[in-house]
Amino acid sequence: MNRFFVFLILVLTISLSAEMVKIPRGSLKPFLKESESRLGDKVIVKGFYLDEYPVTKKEYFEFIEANPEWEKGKVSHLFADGGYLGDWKEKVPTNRDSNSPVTYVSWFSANAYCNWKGKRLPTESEWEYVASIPPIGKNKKAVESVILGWYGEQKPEFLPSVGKYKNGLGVYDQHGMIWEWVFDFNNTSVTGDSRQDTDLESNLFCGGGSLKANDFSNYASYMRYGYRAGLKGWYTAKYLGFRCASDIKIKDNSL
Amino acid sequence: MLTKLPKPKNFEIYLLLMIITSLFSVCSGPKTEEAKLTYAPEVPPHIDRTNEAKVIVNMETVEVVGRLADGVEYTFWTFGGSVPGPMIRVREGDEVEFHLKNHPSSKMPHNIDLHAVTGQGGGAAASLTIPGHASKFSFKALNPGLYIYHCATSPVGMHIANGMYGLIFVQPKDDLPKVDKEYYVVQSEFYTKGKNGEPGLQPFSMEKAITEIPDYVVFNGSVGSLVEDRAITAKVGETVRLFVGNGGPNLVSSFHVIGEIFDNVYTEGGILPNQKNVQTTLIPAGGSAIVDFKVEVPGTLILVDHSIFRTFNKGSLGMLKVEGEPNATVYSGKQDDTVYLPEGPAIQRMVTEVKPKVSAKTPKEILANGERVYKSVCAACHMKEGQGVVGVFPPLAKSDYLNADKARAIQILKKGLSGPITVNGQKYNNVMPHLELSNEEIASVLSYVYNQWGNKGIMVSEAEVR
Repeated sequence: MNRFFVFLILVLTISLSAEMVKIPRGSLKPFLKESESRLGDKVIVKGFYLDEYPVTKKEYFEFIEANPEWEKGKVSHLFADGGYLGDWKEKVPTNRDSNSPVTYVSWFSANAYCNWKGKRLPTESEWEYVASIPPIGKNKKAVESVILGWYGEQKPEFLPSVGKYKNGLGVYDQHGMIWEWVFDFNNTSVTGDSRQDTDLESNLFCGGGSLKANDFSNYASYMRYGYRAGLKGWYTAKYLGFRCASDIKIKDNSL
Repeated sequence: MLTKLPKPKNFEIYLLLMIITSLFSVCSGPKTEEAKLTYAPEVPPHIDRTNEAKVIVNMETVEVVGRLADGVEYTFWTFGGSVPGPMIRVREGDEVEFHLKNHPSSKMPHNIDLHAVTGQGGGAAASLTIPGHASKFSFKALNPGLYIYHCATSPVGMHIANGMYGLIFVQPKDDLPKVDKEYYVVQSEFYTKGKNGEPGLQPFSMEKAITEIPDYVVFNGSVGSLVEDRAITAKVGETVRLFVGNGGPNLVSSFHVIGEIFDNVYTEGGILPNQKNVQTTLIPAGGSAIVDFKVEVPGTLILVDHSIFRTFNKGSLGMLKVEGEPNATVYSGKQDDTVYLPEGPAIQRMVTEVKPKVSAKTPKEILANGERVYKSVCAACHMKEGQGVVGVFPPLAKSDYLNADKARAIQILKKGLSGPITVNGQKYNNVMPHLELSNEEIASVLSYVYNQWGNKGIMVSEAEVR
């Protein structure tokens, strides 16, 4: 009996280690319209693979062991601000939260992690496309209520273990736990023509948000775009983590 | 040594020193000071200097769980940990250097749009700050007046609905008249998933916010934040100035102080006292008003939104307690104490329609009938769960006054009640109208009330009512 449990725990642990989910080709009505596209235009997202869970503290620890230049305290401030891994009291994550998503990571560190795995960060469109798919048998309202519920809940002392909210494709925790880095996080606030940047940026505030939005009722999304607009590549924050994507399936068998 | 020098040279040095000092003071620019921020209902002290200055404002955004009403909690998004956020006071012409810090424990990005700013977004884009970071921007306080500030991060409505607003007063160079007391009051609404009074941590309801039907309309961030020992105060003969803001997000306030007339109103927060003797002033969402009045007689003045159901059913009630000597010429108080006058001032008849009339026989039928009467006649004041409104309508739930004397309760329902009473240790001085209920209805509703909310569970028969 005991052995069976050990085996079960082993299986669970392995299944928790960054399986990738196949994402079929699809389209997304982006929350904010591109400057050159019209309201309601859709963006095509090619098929790709996305991590089943956000990257956990345990996984990130393995990355640091293999790449000591990303240890807490060793990273240049150009690549991560002073908050980097700010909640890591010990060098090793504790058992209590080792399966919690890693946060207090910068874009540079997240990007380095994904590259180490032979993967990349998902683009904003990819991330948003997968995130827009509701759990099986539910609709968009259900997604929004998870997000709003997260906004309104009492902040937990420790982030919970991954595996709380599953969408229709089998991808976990894009909502209801943390924010996540995407490859082109600064997409919304920067254009090629820097002279227009001020105007574009302002579109996220006050009345501007509703001029550009494809869906006014999707309030929860405003916040994600607002959050991304406030980021710089070296920023880290308590509720900001990430997951990786890939064009080919990458089997992760490091555990 | 210096004294030994010939006189003319001494004079030259002196002159040179004077020139250098005066040049220095010109080059160093205006003096720098940090703004003293205050939490409602306190107003920052009057700015006495007559020159322009550079003023540094340090503000922090932080998300906290706090009390919205008794037993009801809410995850507030705040400036400075409170709703409304701290009040800022600067002087016309000041250069304001604004530092916005977002607490590392925050989930949300935040920023600030100060209506006192002339410039894009009122500082919104320049101050967008993710958790654990800080932003800085500067503006010149060109226009004197009383302005709302609020968070303008998308979705703006949600940030405001969760409590992110406050007031900044740009004190005019041409100062407003001096007053004895200044207070800071902000009205706003909250939209919760549960109905008004539903206990526990209540999440924000987007649907109710969009349909603009709030569960709570409050002054200074929570029900009861300005009553009893938290009431604002003044003494007879003093002049009072209220800096009133309306954070919204949706409703326009019909701001009124029961028992007072505003001597001057600076409508919409401008600096022109453009109306005298105002009873109720309209304060738009995202707007303000300054009202001045002299308190002439002692008593408790009640601050309300005169869209009155908000006050009695949703919480927009505050108190200004005035102490001092009565002045019978200004206000006599009650001059005639009459038990019952059909058309008199104390107790009026309230024609009530309770239909359909049913003849209740079994206790179950009696209680059902009583519940129907309660909901149509009593619940408006004593509230759905008999909880009443503290200081205004006494509670019927676990009420010592009610449970102590059945015969008295019957008489109150038959004849009405006025004058001071004490219920569960709280004083009340109000009028309950005479209700035109049949004896059967009185028996039913009293039986219902006695069998609800922890009361003593007795029945009242029709015969007892006769």
